[in-house]
Amino acid sequence: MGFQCLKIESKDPRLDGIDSLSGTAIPLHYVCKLATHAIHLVVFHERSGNYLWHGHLRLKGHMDRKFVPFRKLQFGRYPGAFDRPELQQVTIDGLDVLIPKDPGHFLEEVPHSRFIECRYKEARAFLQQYLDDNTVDAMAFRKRAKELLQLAAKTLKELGVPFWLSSGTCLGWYRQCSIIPYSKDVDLGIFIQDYKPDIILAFQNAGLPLKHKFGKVEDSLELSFQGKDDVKLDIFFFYEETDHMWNGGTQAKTGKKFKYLFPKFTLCWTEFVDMKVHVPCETVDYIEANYGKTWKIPVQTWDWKSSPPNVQPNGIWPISEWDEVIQLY
Amino acid sequence: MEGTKEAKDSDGKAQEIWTGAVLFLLVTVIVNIKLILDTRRAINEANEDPEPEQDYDEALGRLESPRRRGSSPRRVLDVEVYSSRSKVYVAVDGTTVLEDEAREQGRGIHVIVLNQATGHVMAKRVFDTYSPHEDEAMVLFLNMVAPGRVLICTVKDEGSFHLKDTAKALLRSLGSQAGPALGWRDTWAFVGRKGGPVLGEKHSKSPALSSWGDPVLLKTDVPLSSAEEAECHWADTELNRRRRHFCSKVEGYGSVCSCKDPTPIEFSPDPLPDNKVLNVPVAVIAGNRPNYLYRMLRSLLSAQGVSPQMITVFIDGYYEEPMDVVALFGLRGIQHTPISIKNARVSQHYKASLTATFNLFPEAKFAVVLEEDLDIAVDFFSFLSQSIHLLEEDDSLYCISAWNDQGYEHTAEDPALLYRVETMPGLGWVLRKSLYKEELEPKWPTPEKLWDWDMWMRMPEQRQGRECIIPDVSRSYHFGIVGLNMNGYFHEAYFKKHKFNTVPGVQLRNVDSLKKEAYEVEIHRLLSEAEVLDHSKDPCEDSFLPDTEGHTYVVFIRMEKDDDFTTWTQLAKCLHIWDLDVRGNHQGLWRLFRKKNHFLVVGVPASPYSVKKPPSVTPIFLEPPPKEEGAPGAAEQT
Repeated sequence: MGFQCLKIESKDPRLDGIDSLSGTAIPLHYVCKLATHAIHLVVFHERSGNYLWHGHLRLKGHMDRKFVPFRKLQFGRYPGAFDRPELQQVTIDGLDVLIPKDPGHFLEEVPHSRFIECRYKEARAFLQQYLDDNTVDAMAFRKRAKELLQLAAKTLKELGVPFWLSSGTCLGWYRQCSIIPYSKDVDLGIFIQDYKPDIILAFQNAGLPLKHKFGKVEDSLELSFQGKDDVKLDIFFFYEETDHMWNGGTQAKTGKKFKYLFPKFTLCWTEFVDMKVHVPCETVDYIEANYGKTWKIPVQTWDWKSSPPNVQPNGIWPISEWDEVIQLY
Repeated sequence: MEGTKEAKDSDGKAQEIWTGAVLFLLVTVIVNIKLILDTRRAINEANEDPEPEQDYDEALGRLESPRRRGSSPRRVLDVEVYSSRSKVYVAVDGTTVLEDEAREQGRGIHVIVLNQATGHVMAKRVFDTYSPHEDEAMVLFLNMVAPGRVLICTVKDEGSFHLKDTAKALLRSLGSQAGPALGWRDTWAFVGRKGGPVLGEKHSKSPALSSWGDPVLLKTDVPLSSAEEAECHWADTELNRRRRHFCSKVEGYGSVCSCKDPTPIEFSPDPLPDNKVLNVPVAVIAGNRPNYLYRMLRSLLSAQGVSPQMITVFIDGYYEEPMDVVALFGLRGIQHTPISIKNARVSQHYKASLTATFNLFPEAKFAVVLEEDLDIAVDFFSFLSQSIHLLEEDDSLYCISAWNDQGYEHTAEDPALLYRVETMPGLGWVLRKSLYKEELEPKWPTPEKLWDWDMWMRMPEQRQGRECIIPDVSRSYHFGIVGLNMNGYFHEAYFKKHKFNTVPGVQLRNVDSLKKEAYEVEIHRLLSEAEVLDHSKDPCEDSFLPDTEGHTYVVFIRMEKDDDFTTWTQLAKCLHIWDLDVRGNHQGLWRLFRKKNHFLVVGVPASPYSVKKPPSVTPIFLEPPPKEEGAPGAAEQT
């Protein structure tokens, strides 16, 4: 038909798990041009976790960088992840095409679709060095933690509250692409501006009763829910300042307040235990703030009040507020 | 004046030094600029993602296809062939293409086939003609090699003991004189063309029974033919392009590469109406037995209802030839970096393959798991399509398998019949995704555990009392003779005479009666109808059953406890069915056929079906022979 086309392909990231497999390359993008018009065909691939993924549009050495104005393309600057849309057929200009049933939702996802892969190569190296714990207890914990994470994700999604993997859960993703068996709980982060009072009731209805509530919306809010068999779900609310983020902690016995400082971050999608979840895009800065530069070394005894390098004492709650800011169940 | 003269002198020196310094600076600047330009060029030329696997392949390629240096193509290959008791090697143009000096392996006749135009190694085989039947395999192989190919043979250790007449005649037809006369522990090196002539041969007789022939080193020049002579002229179609690519790289596949009338590589099996397994991914677990893979894929692609785009072949290692076979059929192939050793390597390969299968097909709720040494029945997918809903609806099921462990030619009759059994036969089976993801994958044996993956899956901790559905007549046939756990004797004794369904489109009978409760109803009905045999006679004799057909008989054997299989094992042994461990039972009941009658075996009192035993009948007890005979099942690991 006279079009000139460029094909971008690469290794299939779905084969890039903990085992190392290699197959033929999969197509990621096709860019076809005719005179001054160009068609950008983005190939979406299905991945575990019920989402669609598209790849990074990366030009190989020999490709013509002036083929089309690549910088103007809407997709391809980063790999992206999208909820699987249901499609409907419509007729536009006499042509039958398929579009998402909810085009608005799809378009809203575009600016927030950036996806990063788990670092499987580094995870393999880590697990070779520090052999993975395969005891029955470890596996049972992993199973329960995964179920709890799935339940939390579902509940928050229904509320429309975005969240990301935080603390130990984030470290597990970053360091070893799996749940750390001795981590004892599931940690999530939520921006305080996304807080909804319905959260507590929604979790209760999902079978996760509130275990403790520290702080208040205005300051150092922290929620903890009880999952099955002793696994807790900790939700840390993050507050934004001009040049950093922080979340708060409270010591129930003494009323002491703590502040954990983080450099500012944005959220990216990733795949973790067969789910599409958010993590901070600038993950290593986030991890190092929380765990220091020695995060690669497993530490089984971690004390939240003293171990993190980013912890700062933040005063103490006045006793008059204790009833409000320290609620234990 | 002295002052000024000195000043002038020192000025002059300063001038020199200054000039020298500037020159030096210019030189370093030029060197730096050149370095920068070179580095930039190198960066631009480098590809984005370095792929170590490619390097490995290239290295392998370099080992196997000798690159000829120099701009003008050489028309002669310089071939060296070495044969001795403990070492063989073959070098083509200085590149070693075969070298084996390991102890305890590689005995027999090594055969290498070279492309007569490029010198590229197309096939490498070793036939242990010291052992029986290997010479038959060698004859089959050599018969399939295209005429004109360069053949190289060399003996390691001993290659004559079971080199029978047919093989010797074939070697004679190749023009060899020493091959047909090969004696005990003789050494022999041979270079020739398929279809003649011989290009070189050396032979050394062993002087005495206890010693070997002298090592022989044969050096020959092999003239190369032109590319046209080496290739066939098939019509230019997509399929033939794949064929040409394959046939110019690989030998030993017979008529798929024949110039006239090549075997088709595309099959059009009948479509399966209402195919419930159309979108179920098929994982073919393969290693490095490409000729087996070839045979298996042919039968798989000929099965009714197959979806080629759902097939993925997982190869345990970066082997070229299996990938070539996969590409020949236009299928998807994935290579896995092997981890660990022996059976642990196999189990890690299974795990990686199953995980990848569910990653590549996230919507799939099941996966079909096949191996490279199985023939697949023409109604394999039809069988699965009719039974898969059971796996979906009945939680007490662990799998559906195409293999009946007890289904031999003399003990299986009815292709429409299904059983429930308490074992996991493997050999062509369906895995439920939820079982894999939630139960098996998280606790799959780690690489240092030298366990068989299928033995592990059969353990009570994994199976948890669940059962598999199997057909009376197997829908897969295990043809592999060479393998980690296989050898010729084992195959002959336990696999060769396995019954395999060749009837297309079989309608399975009463599928829903295989659900948990319904099956019990069916068993009770069968047992009520069954005629009780005369328990005073020897159950091993054919005369134990009357000369009828289509009847149902029952025999009660002694089974003290749930794990007392003494009598069953003896019965299995004398009936020549699987007796290495206990398979095929369902709550102390075994079902098979004898003389085309349905034959039920009930273990008393352990089986709940013991209640059906008439009070006058004494359960048969068969005693194992005294231990000195040597343990049964000697045909074990290889």
